[in-house]
Amino acid sequence: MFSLTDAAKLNTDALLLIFRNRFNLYGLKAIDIQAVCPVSEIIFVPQAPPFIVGAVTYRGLFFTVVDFDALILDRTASVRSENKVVLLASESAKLAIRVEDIVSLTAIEEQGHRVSSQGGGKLSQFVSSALEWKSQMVPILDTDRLINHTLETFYRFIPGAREVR
Amino acid sequence: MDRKKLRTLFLHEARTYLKQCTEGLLALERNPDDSYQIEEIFRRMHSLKGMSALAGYTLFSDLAHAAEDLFERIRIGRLGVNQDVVSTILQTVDCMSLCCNRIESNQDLTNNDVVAAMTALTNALHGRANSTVANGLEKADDEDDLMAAVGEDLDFVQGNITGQPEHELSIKTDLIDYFFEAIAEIKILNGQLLLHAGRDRPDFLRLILEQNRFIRQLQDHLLTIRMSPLRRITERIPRLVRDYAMKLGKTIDLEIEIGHLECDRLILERLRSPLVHLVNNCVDHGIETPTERKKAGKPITGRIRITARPMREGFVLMVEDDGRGIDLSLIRDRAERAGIEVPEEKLRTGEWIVHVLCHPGFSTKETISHLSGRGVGLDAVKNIVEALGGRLHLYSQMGKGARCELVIPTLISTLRLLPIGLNGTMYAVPLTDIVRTFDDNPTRRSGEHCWRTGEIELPLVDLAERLGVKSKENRKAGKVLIVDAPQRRVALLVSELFAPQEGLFRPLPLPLSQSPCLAGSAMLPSGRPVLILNIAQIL
Repeated sequence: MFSLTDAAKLNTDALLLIFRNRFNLYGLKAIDIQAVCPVSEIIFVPQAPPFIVGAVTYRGLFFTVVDFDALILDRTASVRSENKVVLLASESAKLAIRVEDIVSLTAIEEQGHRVSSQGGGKLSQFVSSALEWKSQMVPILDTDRLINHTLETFYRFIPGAREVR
Repeated sequence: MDRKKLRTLFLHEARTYLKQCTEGLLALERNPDDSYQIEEIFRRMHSLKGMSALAGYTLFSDLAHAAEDLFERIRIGRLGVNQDVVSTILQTVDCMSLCCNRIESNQDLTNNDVVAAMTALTNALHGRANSTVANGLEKADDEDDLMAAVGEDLDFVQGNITGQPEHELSIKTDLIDYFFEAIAEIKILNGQLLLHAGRDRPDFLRLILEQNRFIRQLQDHLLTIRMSPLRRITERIPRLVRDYAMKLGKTIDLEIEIGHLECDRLILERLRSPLVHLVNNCVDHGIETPTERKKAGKPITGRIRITARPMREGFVLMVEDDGRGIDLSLIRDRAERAGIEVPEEKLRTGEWIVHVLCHPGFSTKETISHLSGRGVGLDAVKNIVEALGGRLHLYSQMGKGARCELVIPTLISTLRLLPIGLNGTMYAVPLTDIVRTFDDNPTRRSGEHCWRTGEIELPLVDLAERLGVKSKENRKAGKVLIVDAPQRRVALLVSELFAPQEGLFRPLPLPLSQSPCLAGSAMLPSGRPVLILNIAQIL
């Protein structure tokens, strides 16, 4: 496990974590990441939407684990022991996403960073820009949008869930 | 001192004095010759005048000055204390409390804020008739206004650090929560150190165990900081009862006996409105008018009693009156007509009244007026109490009165929990939800979905199946928990039961906090976090 909150010396504004899910690469701004953990015990959350893998604990606190693929593809989440969990924080909430593999932690400035919309469909609503990395276009996910969308979908799924606080 | 600090200090002191003035005025009304109270209130008004002038709140100071003048006349015997005078000063105190709220929200005080109270004081000073009683009572119409006016401040923790109850220390709730988080993390790190120490390093192990002991002590002391005296939520009740009773033309004696019980400040904050609601119901619908009481052969003065007594897992707060009571036969009749089923055990325990009154299908509008007051908002009270892990009971005797009991756990910072295993995953259930536990015994089973305990058959629910917890280790359910769900008693089939433990409660973050089947999370003494199941919602 490495904690980016501890890495104060790094300029996290300029760092991007690239991960892989089902042969696709995605980027997350390191400044939004609290920690990356191996998948240890994921606790099943009863009566949760299908894209929720469960909950993990980090420093005694529970984080909801979202299967990103399941969220954008509307399918049931799955998890394997070699997967990783990336803990994300925004102003509205904290949550974790399950990723298959961490590919790289790279500095944005050194790469050709383009602002563009990436692809279409459901993914486009989570993408803030794209990065050309090793001849591949990597969509950079917008953490706020990702978290807000997860919360909204969660509340829609649960009857009687209260308003977003 | 900078302006912000001066304002904070002023608001803290002013609110403390205003609270003392309210208590003093109510005591003075009961005993108009109490020269001690007259001196005390005069002194408080004098202090309020001085400190508000110093802080630059001239209109506030003018108001305090006028109130001080009025009390000066009382002191020298030129004005007698009566209900009208007390109401005038109470109106002034309310006005000052509202001024404090405006100051706190950075709003300037204007003449409009103080004109009504100032006019009433001037009239009283010149012996002119006042409409202050009516003015004061208008406020009682709006519960929130009165709450704001009386302005209890639970952010002040009394005496726990200095050991001197007369001194108060202001502690931000966020800061306490931060300390809890920090201690939780230290505890986890300590647990990890313990694992790494091993048996081959006894000196190291000893130091870690010593550290562990200090962490526990620190945690225990921190818990006491969260505690507040229960009397804090009853401080404004005498004023509420006085004003409301006056408005309705009733005379009511209020008795409060809650001793020195303490509970978590979070619980206190949440119990405030249910208590006010129950007391309002007693005044409004429970206690009869003097004429009705005389006719019923009762003393003209009604009686409301608020008591609290400790229990094993917390305390019970009771609100009772000697009023007309609730017509139980009428409720039963309405319930039957509405097709509301009442479980057998609830009929025996008397819990059926709450069950029916809070049932969504039970319309209180169709019932007679005095009953409607009992039903309105009772479900809200029940929801709050149950959200705190407590229970609500209601007892009544027609013509003799009614009693409402709120059974509340003392702490929600720590919870007594029963960890359970569901197909290899550990969850926890609050002990307050559990009636008893059994080994799964086929002789007690009656069919696939029934469990017998004594003469009673309970519905048997496979909890893992209900929650959709898939089997990790192909374990069979082997234990049974008897729990009290809101509508019924139920037997729950689970895989494993562990020893009851005290867990440090932690609210869940979003979106888990919105999950109806989870009540929160807790850290067990081992440092292991568990999800707490909300049994009432699950069933």
